[in-house]
Amino acid sequence: MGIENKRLKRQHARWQPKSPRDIIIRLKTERRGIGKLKAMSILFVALLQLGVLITLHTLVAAAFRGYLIFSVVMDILTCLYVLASDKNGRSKAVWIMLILVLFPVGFLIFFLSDERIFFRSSRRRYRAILQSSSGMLTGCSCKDMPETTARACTYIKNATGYVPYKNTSAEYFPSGAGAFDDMIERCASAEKFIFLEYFIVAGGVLFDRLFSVLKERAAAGVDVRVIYDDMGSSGKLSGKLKREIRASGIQLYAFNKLVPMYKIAMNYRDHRKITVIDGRFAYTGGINISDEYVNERRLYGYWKDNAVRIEGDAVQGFTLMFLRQWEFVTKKPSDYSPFMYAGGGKFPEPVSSGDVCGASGGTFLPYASGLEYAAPVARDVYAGAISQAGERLWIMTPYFVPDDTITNMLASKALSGVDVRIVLPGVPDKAYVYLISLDNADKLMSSGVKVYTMTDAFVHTKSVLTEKCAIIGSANFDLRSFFQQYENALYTDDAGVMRGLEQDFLQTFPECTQRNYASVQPGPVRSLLISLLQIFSPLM
Amino acid sequence: MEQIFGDDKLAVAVKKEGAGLIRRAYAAFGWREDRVYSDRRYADVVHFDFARPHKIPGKDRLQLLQVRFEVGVNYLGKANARMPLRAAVIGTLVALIGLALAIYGAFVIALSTTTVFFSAGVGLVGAGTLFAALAVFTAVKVYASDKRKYGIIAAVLQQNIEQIIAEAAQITGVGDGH
Repeated sequence: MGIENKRLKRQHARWQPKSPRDIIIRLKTERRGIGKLKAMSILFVALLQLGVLITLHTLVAAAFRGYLIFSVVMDILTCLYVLASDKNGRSKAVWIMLILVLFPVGFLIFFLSDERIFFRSSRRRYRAILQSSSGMLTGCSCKDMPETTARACTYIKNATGYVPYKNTSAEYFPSGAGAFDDMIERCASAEKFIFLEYFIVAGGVLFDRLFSVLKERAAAGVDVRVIYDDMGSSGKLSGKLKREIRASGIQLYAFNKLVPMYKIAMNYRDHRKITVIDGRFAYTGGINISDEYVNERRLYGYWKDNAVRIEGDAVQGFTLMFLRQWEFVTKKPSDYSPFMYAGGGKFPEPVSSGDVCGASGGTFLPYASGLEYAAPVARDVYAGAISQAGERLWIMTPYFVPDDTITNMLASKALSGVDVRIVLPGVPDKAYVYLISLDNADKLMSSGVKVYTMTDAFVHTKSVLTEKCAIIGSANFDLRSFFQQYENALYTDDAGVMRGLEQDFLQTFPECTQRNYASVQPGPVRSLLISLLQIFSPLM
Repeated sequence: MEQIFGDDKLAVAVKKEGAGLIRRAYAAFGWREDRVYSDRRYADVVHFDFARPHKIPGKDRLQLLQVRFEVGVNYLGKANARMPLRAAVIGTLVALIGLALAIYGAFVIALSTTTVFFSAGVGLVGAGTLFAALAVFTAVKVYASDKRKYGIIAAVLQQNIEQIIAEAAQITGVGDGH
């Protein structure tokens, strides 16, 4: 082996110690400690504030005996309030337990964490945005389509206002690398606008590649807008990079900026993954703008992800989704019309409106889920797909912490003979969530659900495939995605997309280890740990 | 487009003992060796900089295979280090018990005023010596058993690694150097 430079050659001649590491290869791009310092310090300050508040409250309770009686009454009333609320059963149980265990401050913590009080103004703003933009979509009616699709369309239309489309083609990508290559190429030929909304935007090789194109397009007069989540991108997108992006003419906004305050809204994150190019192409899936998503950086083994590109009328749904969030984060009224068909944007007129919707080809239904809607849309669309599955129900998700509704439906589907399979990561990113995910999945094995873990890989794909439909998007099978995060997805019965996703599953199964019911009975310590973690699973 | 994508880069630090295997494997994964240099601190570490065209057929599969290769090779390194570990820990513990018994026995002999105590002291020293012998015996047995166990694992892993390299070579069309 040649040693190039002379100084090193001299050093080499002297005595040098041997490496203390046991491993043989170390990738220099392999970094586990991601910069989470900012988020951690903010969490610490917020908890400190909560601690001070609790201490003051306890001091008052100790000084005035009457206050203790008041606290008892408040705890009981709060428990009744929780029971009557529209929270899911699991959250209710956890909250009631916390209120009682944390007496006399339990009720105080609950009210400080109640989104109906401390998220009211944001809800009001969302309502105004949804109302003002409600007539922007020109899709199909929910008739003249297979029954399962029609049901999903009706639900999504009623719950969110998003409508189905035909006249759309799609390409499925079984990896982030393929999706981003395609996206970058299409961004490079954008002429009007490029919208990106991602949970994580992180500096790195992928960032440099994508943003060199975006900068060039912005300089050419293309309207480039980016929304990133401040928690997801915390410590990954430096101030210097942000200044560089803004200086190049790209409009960049953070969703829900992290502030060192105990604020329940901090818990609500924009987990969406959307790219819209010229109103012609849209991408969604599990991918984020960070090197691990294209396997340029190794965090937890191989990174398994997916995405779908759509071209045609259905892109409108994603355009509207982005513009609504844009208006929310910028806090400025936004003119949607240059970007939408209905508003007179200079696009080829949509083919799929009114009566031509009965045309052949798959139906595409982009939809959003989040706190702007009363219903837990992501959960309900998954539940709808599960309920309609008659032959197979294949799920890929990084986290499996569903509520009782989904759990019971999966068990009953498997018991009724449907081929239910769940693919989870073989390498965890968060050990505590992984422990619960495996426990939840393992419990379903007795009903006949087959659970797989992909060896040496972190599965970040969030997709469902039945014999009737495919759902590809950002929503995990966990309570955060169902109830606390802004998510988006594409529901489709398009044969091409379904075939692509099916192939992806079929190629993934042989790379997995199927979990065996007999070998996964947890010991007493693990059982206790899991029980404790399950208490906080609604927050994970 | 070529300008946007350029070549993919990979920088790795490798123990010298595995350098030959890594060179062969990474060539099969489609990587071209750009630069090799020794480590500043450690005598047994060498650095490689690789490059590969961004767009190559079967890239997703190659990336998965590469991860599996790296996991396998690193496990081999860890297994080598772990092989004598259990034997050393168990042997040391048993030897420490023996030493404690012998020291205690020596004290009893030194301070004994009667034949019974003296005999007990001798007995304790004897037991200590026996434990020392037992420590050596146990350590050798455990080491032999672990060597066999890790040997089997290593053999399976070696086979898997060769299969991975062969599959990668088939995808990239680069000979795996066999």
